[in-house]
Amino acid sequence: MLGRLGLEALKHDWIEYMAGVSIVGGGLFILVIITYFKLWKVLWKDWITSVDHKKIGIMYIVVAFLMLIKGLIDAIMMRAQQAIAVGASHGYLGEDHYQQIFTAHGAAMIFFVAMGAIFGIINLILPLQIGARDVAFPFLNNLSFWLFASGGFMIIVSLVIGVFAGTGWTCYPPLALPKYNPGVGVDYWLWSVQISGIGSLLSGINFLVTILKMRCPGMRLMRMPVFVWSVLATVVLVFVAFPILTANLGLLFTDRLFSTRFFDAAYGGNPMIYVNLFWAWGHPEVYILILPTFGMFSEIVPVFSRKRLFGYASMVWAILAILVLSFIVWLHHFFTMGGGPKVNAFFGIMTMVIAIPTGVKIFNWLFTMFRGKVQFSSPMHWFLGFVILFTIGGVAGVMLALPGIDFQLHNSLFLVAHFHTVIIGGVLFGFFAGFTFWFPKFTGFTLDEKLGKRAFWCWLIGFLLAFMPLYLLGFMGATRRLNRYDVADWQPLFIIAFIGVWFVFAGVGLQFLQIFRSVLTRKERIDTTGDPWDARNLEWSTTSPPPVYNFATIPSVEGRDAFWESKKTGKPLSQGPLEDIVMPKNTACGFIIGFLSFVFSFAMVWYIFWLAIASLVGILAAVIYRVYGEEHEYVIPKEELEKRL
Amino acid sequence: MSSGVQDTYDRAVFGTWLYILSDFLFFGTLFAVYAFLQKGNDTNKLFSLKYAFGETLILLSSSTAAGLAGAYLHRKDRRNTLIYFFLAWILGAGFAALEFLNLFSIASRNYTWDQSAFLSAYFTLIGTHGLHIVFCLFWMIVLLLPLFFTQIRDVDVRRLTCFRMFWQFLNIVWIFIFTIVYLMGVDGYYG
Amino acid sequence: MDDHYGWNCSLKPQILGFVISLVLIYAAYRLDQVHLTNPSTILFTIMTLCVLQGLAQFFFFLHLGMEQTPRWNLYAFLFTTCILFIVVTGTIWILQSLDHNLMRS
Repeated sequence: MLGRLGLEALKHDWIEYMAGVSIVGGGLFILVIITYFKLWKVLWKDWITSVDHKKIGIMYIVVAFLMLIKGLIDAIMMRAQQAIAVGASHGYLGEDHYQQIFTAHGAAMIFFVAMGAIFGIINLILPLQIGARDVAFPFLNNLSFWLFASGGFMIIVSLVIGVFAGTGWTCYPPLALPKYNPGVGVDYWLWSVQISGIGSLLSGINFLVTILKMRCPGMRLMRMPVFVWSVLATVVLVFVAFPILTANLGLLFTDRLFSTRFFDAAYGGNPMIYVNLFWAWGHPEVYILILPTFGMFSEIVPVFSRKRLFGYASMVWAILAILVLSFIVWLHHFFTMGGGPKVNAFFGIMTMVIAIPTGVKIFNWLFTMFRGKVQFSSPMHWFLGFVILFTIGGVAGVMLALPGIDFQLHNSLFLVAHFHTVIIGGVLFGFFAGFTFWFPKFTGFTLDEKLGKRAFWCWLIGFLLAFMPLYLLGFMGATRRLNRYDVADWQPLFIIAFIGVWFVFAGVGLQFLQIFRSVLTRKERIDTTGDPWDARNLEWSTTSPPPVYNFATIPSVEGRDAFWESKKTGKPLSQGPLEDIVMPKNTACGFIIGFLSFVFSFAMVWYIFWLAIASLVGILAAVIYRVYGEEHEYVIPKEELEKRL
Repeated sequence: MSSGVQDTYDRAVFGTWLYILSDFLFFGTLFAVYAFLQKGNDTNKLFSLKYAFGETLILLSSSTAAGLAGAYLHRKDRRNTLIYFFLAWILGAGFAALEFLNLFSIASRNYTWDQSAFLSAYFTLIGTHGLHIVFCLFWMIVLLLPLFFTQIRDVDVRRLTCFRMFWQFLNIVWIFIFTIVYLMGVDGYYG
Repeated sequence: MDDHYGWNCSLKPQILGFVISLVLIYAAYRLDQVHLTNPSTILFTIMTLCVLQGLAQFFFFLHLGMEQTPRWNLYAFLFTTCILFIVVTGTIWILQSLDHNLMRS
C-alpha cells in the first residue's frame, strides 16, 4: 500500500532530527504567519496562479534564497567537521551523514540556488529589455517554476522522510546502482534533478522563442542589450544540453528500477557512459550559470561608469564563442579516467582556448570603466569583487586544463576551491549585483547601500578565508569529500576555512537585514521616476514597479541603448495610439501539475506505484483541462490604459 | 488572419520546432549509447529485417497521411482533415502494436533487457520511441475531439499543426532506428 | 496562415516526400543485392541513404528551409545537428578510447 515507506523512514540521528524539526517548524511557522495575516487569498490569486513573468521571477529568487540557506548550513557543518576531525578525532558527523551533506549541498546549490537565481533574473528582466509584454508562453513559464519548486521540495522532504543520496552531487554509478545504494537516497536525487530539469528545458525553449520572436520593432539582433545576448546564448545551451541529462538520468533510472545494465561492467555495460554523458551536459551547465552573470555586468558597469559599454561587437562574439566552445571541452572533468593522450590533448587545448573570450569580456568591462565617471555603488563593489575572484578561479581553471597538472589536482581540494571561486565569485556575486541593481524596478524603492556594502565585504573576506586555504590544501594532497584526515599540518588551514564560512554567514545575515531595513525605511528611497540609476535600457522606461502589461504601447527603437538616447534627444520611445491589450489569464494548472509531479516523484522514490500512476493520470487530466477547460486570456480595454496615464 | 493570431501561431510552431530539436538530441544520446554498446553483438538471431521494414513502411504511410491531413487542416477542410488524421492514427496504432509485439517476442525468447547492456540499449531505444508513439496516439484523439463538433478554429489549426510536426518527427527518428539498429546490425557492421 | 505559408496547404510536398522516402528506404533495404563487400562502403552507403531520407523528410514533411527570413527554424536545425554530431561522435570516440585503454587484459 505504501511501497517501501515505513516508520523507519523517520528514524534519524540527533543532528538530522534537529534539521528535520527546524525545517518542519519553520514551514509551520510560515503557514501560521500567512494564516494570521489572512494572506492565503492574495498568495493564491496574485502569486501561485500568476503567469506574469515578473511575479514568477520573484518566486524563483525566493526559492533560491531559501535553498541558499540550506546549502550554507550544509557548508558550515562540513567546515566544522573538517576543522576538528584530524588524527584520532572523528569529529561529530559520521561518514553516511557527511556524504549526504556534501551531496545535498552540491545538488541544492547548483540546481536550485544558481539555476533559480538565474532563471529568476531572466524572468524579471528579459521581456522588459526587449520591449515585450511577457514571455512567449506564460502558462509554460508558471509550470516551469512549479516543476522547479517541486524538485527543490524533494530535497527538503528527504531531510525528514528517508535519506538523501550519499554519492556526491554528480551521483556516478556504480555507487549509484542498486548493488551499492539500494535505498531511497539516490532516487530522491534522481527525481529531484529530473523534474526540475524538465522545468529548465521548458523555460529554455520559452525564453528562446521570446528573444527570437518577440523583440519590439526596430530591435535588430545587434541592437539588443548585451544581457539579452547572454540570455540568448544561455537558453540555446539549455535546450541542447538538458536533453542529454534527461536521457542520462533516464538510463540511471532504468538501471535502478528495471535492472537494465547500462552502467554495469559485469554485463557489458560501462559506468563511464554515465560520466561522459553527465559532463556532456555538465559543462554547458556551468556556462548556463555564468553567461547571464556576464550579461548582468554588461548592464551594470556602463551605468555606474556613466559611459557606454566598450566593444559591443566583441562582447557579442565572445558570448557566441563561449557558446560554441562550451560543447567541446567536457572531457576535462574526467582527464584521469583513461581516455589517453590524444583525447586528453584535444580537450585540454580546447579548455584553454575557452578562457580567451572570457578574458576579452573582462577587458571590455575594465575599458568601459576607464575614463568613465565611476560611482562605487554596491553593485560595483560586487563587480570588482567578481573581477578579482573570477580571475583567480579562472587562472586555476586554466591550470587544471593541463592534463598533466590535472592528474595531480583532480578531485583534490584545489578543484573544490577552483569551482567555488568561479561560481561564488562569478554567478553569486553577479546575481547579488543584479539583484541590487534591479531591485528598485520591481519594488519601487532602492536598497540600503551601506548595509549592501558591508554585506559585500563580509562575503569577500569570508570567501577568501574559506577558500584560499583550500587551494593550498589541494596542492598538499588533500582529497575532496573526506570527513576526516590524518595530517595534523592541515588543521590550521581547515580552521581558517571554518572562520571564513562564518563571515559568509554574517554577509547573508546582513543581506537579510538589508532587505528588512530597506522595506521599513523605504519612504526615504522611493523611486519616483522609474529610472533611479539614470540607466540605459528599456526596462527603465517603465514605472517602478511596471504595470502588469509592462508597456502601455510597445516601444520602437532605432539603435542600442534606446532609452538612453530617448532621454538625451527628448524623443519618446512609443508613439503609437493606445489599444486594447490582450493579457494571459492566471491559472491553477501549473501549480497543480507541479504538485502532482512532486507526488509522482515521491511515489516513485518509495515504490508506491499505484500513487505514481494516479498522479500521472492527474497530470494528464490537468493538461487536458488546461487545453479545453479554461479561458486563457483577458482583455485590458484602452480606456483603462488612458486612465492610468 | 489577424496579426495577433499569426503571432501566436508562429511562436507555437517555433516552440514546437525547438522542442522537436531537443528531442532529437535526447534520442541522439540514446543512439550514441546504443552504437557504443552494440559492438561485437550478434543481432541476427534477435530480429527480422523484413519485419522492421514492414514497420517502416507503415509508419512512413502514417506520417504521410498526417502530412496530408495537415494540408487539409490549413485549407479548413474539416472532413478530409478528420479522414486523413484517422488514417494516420490507424497506421500509427498498427505500428505501435508491431513495435511492442516485437519487444514482447524477443523478451519471451528469453532475451530480456536485464541480460546485457546491449539488450538494455535495444529495449530502451525501441521502447522510448514506442512510448512517444503511444502518447501521441492518445494526444491525437484529445486534439481531434473538438473537430467532431465544430468547424476548424484558429486554435485547432495551431494545435494540430504542432502535433503533426511532432508526429512526423517521430518517423524521422524511426528512420534512424531502422538504419542504425536493424540495417547496420544485420549487415554485420557491428559484429 | 494561408497567405504566409502557401506550402502549408499544398499536398504536393507530402506526396513527393512519401515517394522519395520510399525509394531511399527500399534502396537501403535491398542494398545486399548490390554485393558490396567492403564493410566501410556498406556503412557509408547506408548512413548516407539514411541522412538523405531524414533531410528529405525534414524538407518535404516539416517544411524545413521554406520559411521567410529570418529563417530561425533552419538555423536552429543546423545548430542542433552540429551539436548532435559533436556529442555523438565525441561520446563514441571517448568511450572507445576508454574501452581500448582499460578493458583489455
